[in-house]
Amino acid sequence: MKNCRHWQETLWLEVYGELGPEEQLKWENHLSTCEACLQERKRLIHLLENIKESMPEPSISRESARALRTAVSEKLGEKHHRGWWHPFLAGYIKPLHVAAVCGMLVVAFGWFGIRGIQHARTVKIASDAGVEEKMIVNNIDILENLDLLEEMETLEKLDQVMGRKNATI
Amino acid sequence: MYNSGATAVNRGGRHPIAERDAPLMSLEDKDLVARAQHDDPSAFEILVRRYQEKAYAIAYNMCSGDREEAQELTQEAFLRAFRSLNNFRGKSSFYTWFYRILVNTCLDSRRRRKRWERIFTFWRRDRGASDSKEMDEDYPDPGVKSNPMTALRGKQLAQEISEALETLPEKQRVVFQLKVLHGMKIREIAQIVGSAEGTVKSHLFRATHFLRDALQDWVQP
Repeated sequence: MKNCRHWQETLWLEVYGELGPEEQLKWENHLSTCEACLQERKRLIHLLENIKESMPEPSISRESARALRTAVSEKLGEKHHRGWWHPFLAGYIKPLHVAAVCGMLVVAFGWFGIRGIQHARTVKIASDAGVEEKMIVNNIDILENLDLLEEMETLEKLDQVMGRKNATI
Repeated sequence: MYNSGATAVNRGGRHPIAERDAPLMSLEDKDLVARAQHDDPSAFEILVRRYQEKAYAIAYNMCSGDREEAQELTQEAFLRAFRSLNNFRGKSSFYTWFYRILVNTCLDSRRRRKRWERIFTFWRRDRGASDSKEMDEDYPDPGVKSNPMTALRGKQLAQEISEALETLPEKQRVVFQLKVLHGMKIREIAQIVGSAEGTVKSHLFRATHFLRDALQDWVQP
């Protein structure tokens, strides 16, 4: 076999019953002339037989087989018939789980709840500030010329006063 | 659950089956799968009957000879398969699809167990010796019909093989077990483990090479 390394894969395939008919013919021709490969084949077959014998395929007992079928059928049946309440009544969700979840909710609300309210307030203030800013932007022309407007108002008043004086004279 | 009422005997004469299920026994897998996809409980049951023996044997070998665990894993694999039956498109045969689910279920369980073993290393160290003893005793006795020396030899070989298989990488071990212990074709194994046929051959040859070296004493005829 040492001189027949390239036959090793063929040998294994043959032992495992995976060799094609053409390759089988070539392999048999080689075997008839090579004592080393013949011996290696015998050893490998012997080893595999030993392995198979020492680890026989276990068989499931009739009771176990029936129990298995029943369990599969019942669990499949449960899947079709159960409603949303099933986890509660079937005992998957235990009072301890509910208590743990409630506790976590209380802690989460206690921690994030107040901050959440504060966050909501700041949002509201921010939105108010936004409205004021918008108003300022809309009336920016008026604000920029506020001094001028005040002066114009003063002049108008002065004009009115002067007008009255002229009328009395 | 479905065994109530009168019973009949199937063609093999091995399992008594419900009379109303008897005509379904002759149906091919694809017809049973089509019925099961429409929630026909009889189809489910016949599929379980058809594959439970082989599935149990695969699970048993993959979980190192623990009967209870093998039964649980077989049941879990059937449930997983039936619950996702609508995803089965029929591109491969039902049994390779199902065995793929089974092998993945067993590998998941094995990985979970290994994780826990790593976590509780100290605890396992004390139990290690007794566990391997239990495992060997749980394996079916290979030499029941032969003389005591042969039986002893068989047990020793079984232990050495188990130890050698445990040291193999996961894929090599699975491929070797499916081929040698369950007599599957390389093409089927490739579908089950989701690898190319060439890769499966490579895994098989590496495993064979390793075991041939590890079990030198048992090689000579």
